[in-house]
Amino acid sequence: MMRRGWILLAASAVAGLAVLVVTRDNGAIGPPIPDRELGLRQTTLADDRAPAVYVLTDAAPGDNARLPRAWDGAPPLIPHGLDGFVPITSAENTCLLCHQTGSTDSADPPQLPSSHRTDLRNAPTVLRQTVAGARWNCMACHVVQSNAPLLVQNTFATGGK
Amino acid sequence: MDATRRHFLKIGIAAATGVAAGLHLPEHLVALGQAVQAGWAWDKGVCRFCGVGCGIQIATQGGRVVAVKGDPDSPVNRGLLCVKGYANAKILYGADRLTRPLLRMKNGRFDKTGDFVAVSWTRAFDEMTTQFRRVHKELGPTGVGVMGSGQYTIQEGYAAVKLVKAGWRSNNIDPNARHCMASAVAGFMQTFGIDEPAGNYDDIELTDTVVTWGANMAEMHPMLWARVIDRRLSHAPMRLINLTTFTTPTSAMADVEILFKPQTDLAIWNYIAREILTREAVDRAFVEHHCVFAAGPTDIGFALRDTDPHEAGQTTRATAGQHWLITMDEFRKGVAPYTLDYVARLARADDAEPLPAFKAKLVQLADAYADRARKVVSFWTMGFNQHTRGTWVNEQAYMAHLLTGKFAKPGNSAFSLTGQPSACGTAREVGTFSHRLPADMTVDNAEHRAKAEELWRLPAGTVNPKPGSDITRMMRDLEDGKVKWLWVQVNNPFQATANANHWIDAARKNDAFVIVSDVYPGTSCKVSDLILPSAMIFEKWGAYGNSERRTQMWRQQVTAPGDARSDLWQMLEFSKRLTVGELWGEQAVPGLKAEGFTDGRLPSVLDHISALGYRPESTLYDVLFATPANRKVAWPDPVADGHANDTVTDLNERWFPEKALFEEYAGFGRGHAHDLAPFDRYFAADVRGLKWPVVNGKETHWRFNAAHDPYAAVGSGFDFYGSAMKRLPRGTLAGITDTTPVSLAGKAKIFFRPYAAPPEVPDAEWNLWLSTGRVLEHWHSGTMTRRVPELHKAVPAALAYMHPADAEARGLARTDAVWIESRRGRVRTRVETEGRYGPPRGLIYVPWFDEMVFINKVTLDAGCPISRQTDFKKCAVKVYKADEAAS
Repeated sequence: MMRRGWILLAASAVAGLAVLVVTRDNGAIGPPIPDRELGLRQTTLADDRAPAVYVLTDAAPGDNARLPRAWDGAPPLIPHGLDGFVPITSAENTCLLCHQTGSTDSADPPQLPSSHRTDLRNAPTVLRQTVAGARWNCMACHVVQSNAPLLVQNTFATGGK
Repeated sequence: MDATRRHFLKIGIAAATGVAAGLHLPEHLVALGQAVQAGWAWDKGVCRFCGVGCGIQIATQGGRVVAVKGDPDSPVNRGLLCVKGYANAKILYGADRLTRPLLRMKNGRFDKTGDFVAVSWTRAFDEMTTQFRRVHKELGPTGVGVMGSGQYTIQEGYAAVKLVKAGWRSNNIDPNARHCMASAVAGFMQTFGIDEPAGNYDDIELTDTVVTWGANMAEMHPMLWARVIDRRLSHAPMRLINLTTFTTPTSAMADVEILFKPQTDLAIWNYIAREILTREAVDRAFVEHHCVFAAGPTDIGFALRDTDPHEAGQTTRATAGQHWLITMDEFRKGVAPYTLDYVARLARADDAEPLPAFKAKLVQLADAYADRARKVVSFWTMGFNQHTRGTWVNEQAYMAHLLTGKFAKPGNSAFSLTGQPSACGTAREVGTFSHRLPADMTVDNAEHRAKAEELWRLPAGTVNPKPGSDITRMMRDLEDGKVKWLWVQVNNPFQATANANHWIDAARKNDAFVIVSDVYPGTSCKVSDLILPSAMIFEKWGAYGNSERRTQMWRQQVTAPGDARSDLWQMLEFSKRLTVGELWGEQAVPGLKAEGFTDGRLPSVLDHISALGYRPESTLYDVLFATPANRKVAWPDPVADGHANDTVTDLNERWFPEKALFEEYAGFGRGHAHDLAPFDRYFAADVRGLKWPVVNGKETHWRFNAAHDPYAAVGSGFDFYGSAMKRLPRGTLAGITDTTPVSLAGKAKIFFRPYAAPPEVPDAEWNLWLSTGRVLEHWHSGTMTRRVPELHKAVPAALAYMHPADAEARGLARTDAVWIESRRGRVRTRVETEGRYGPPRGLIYVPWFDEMVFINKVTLDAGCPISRQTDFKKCAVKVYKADEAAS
């Protein structure tokens, strides 16, 4: 059995090499990749490093440029820091103090869009003046960004426009 | 352009006109901005991430996903999505997607010490086959294994179960759902004799109270939390109580936060039960007609290795799941010691909180359960399930709801939230576990095996009656050289399993052959021998089942990059490599002991294959998958509505595997309280998934309730018709006194379970609790979410969240680099004393999404001995300053 196994192994190695030379189809394609180069860790599993210090933006709300949306309809990122504004409780939502004033002045903080003032579950045809209850927790969808560099590029691109 | 139009363009909600989207939006939300989205094709789907199972709409253009939104027609989320839900659009597009099979090689041959080289699929399957034959020859069916997933599609999970159990006659298939939901399943099976929740998400809109037990719902099930908050803001009596071991965003939105010491949830439940009895708040009619009381052994150990010192003196390890009937008086005796005073002192986590204040909160909690007029929904996930007494604490939740009759009724629910998108739909319902078959059946039950053999057209005796290894045990088997061929699919177990140093060494040092099918290179890929590039969600057809039993499906939307192929294709293609002749002869199975079987052996079934139309050279593909019945399910199929199916194309076939296998699988459950609708129904324009059992076209909202569940006996009121473990002996708290089995048909069990300390608690040296878990922005091991820019930049690294006083006492300042060390290993990260988490003194929290902060090197692989699920929430560590290290 062993002997047969070795013969088969040798035969397939020769065959494999032949195929490699002719078609580069059944053997190796391209340069070898050490496992330390795979993934986001960028080192071996034995090498435990502390992450760099990253800082969430601490810009004051007010005159920040709006960050580009991933596509039409993606939730906007929060361009300012949240110091003093979170956590949201069931009694207090500080975000609304600026983002639910009813202002139509484009110089004012962006206001809740009508999607956020519609209760699609219980009263879908009614446009409210105030936020729908299901949208109370702004932090579920809107996040702040830090100065962390990307680990890997993302090639997503929205279409149209 | 006028302001209104610009405003609506910004909203970007597409009109349905001209596009077959099926979006039903009210007039005032129909956008005028159609120009932006011209050429976008919308189709319905499900979110890739948590067990909420939000309905989404996916927009594609030019062969790529270009947008995603919450589906307004989905009853689950009604048009809302959380930040990860929106990321469904981007997760396919990280630049380092795996696109070629990668095999470790040296000199043109496989070599475990070699670097990875790209090879063809043919070469990859050649090596898999060679290695499979080597290991199977040496070790038989117990030498091979699959680590599967609660993120498999239903069809992938079913193909895997059939391949492993019918094809290889092995029971070594176990999912990462073992780390997630096993305790919940054991709790269901022991209490009701059948798996999965009685209620559904609609209970949120009908209740007066939500109690979250060790579940940070605001971050982990965000769109359900949105419904809870909506109810809180609109229903005046509504109250939210959050029980937690550290302050979270859920605490902030709750009315009451109860900070408890790890594991004392067991004691708190018994206090509640004691109060229910003392206040005579028991629903006597409900309990008398529909319930019994039960108890079990107590020194059941911690699912550690037999030789572990913690297991010494644990006398009932072998009978951990056994239980027996007791009287209500015995139950009363059991809970008697759990007074407010005892429990408050045991459970209070924050010494700075005055004891009377903490007691007052426990009283409020008991009030909520005991008040007859108050409806209560209890939610839990990992805090209960990842627990060394996880099965017990799940049973205690049912205990309180059954005692008060607050169960299986609209607005009254003990609801086990599922972590993963299809731990229910796939892992649990299909049975991708070491002891399971589909539809709640088990391999150690002769009738169940016979049923499976009949439906699968196998000779009698094919299915192995000896349960295989759960996922943690499979890692130990790898270390011990008992498993030498391992296929990992749709999960990252080498990052996810506790006490990880053992397993990453085992994969690299022994003569095992480890295959990892994945979409991005992660920790498991790094320790593997062969990496297989896999298609992601929406690059293949699929189906998931969420926490509330809602099965949802999607069509393929786009094509996978490079040579990446669907997991279903991989299994079907690989199944062509092995024949029944080489797998269905006599096999050694060490430890096998079952009626009708010779000890330690599976019989040959080859004498019976010709009657079924098989030959020894029939491949597993012919026998298991491309059966005559399945070949009749033709592709193309009108349900595709113009969408591609690369699994069919890559197989070069004319039959529709996703549909055929779904229908074959559904045959197990239809008529047996697990009814799924026909495949096509899930694609109907007006359907957003269906909650099983679906009987005569109607879904079931509340199971066991005769007014809502067609399987509940008419006139019964409530019928707990699950059949497992419904014949029990009788006894007392101390043990069995009468072995005569008593039938409990139709009844549910109210368990007495005592408080039990965890195996490893902080001491003088290892002086902090370590709890681990997730954050809102990241999913599991981060392979998908850390490649989405917005999510990565929101939470770029896993930090050690720590109380400022604990930091100061150790000479640590915020952002200092530290080692987190346990008896098992150590990792480096940075201290965070601010932000969204507020641990009490004595506990730190570290999320596990970060490949670099490999926190499972530190955790302990102790678990619930009944469910075999690891307790990731409790072990003892020390934290000390580390050298600054470049990153």
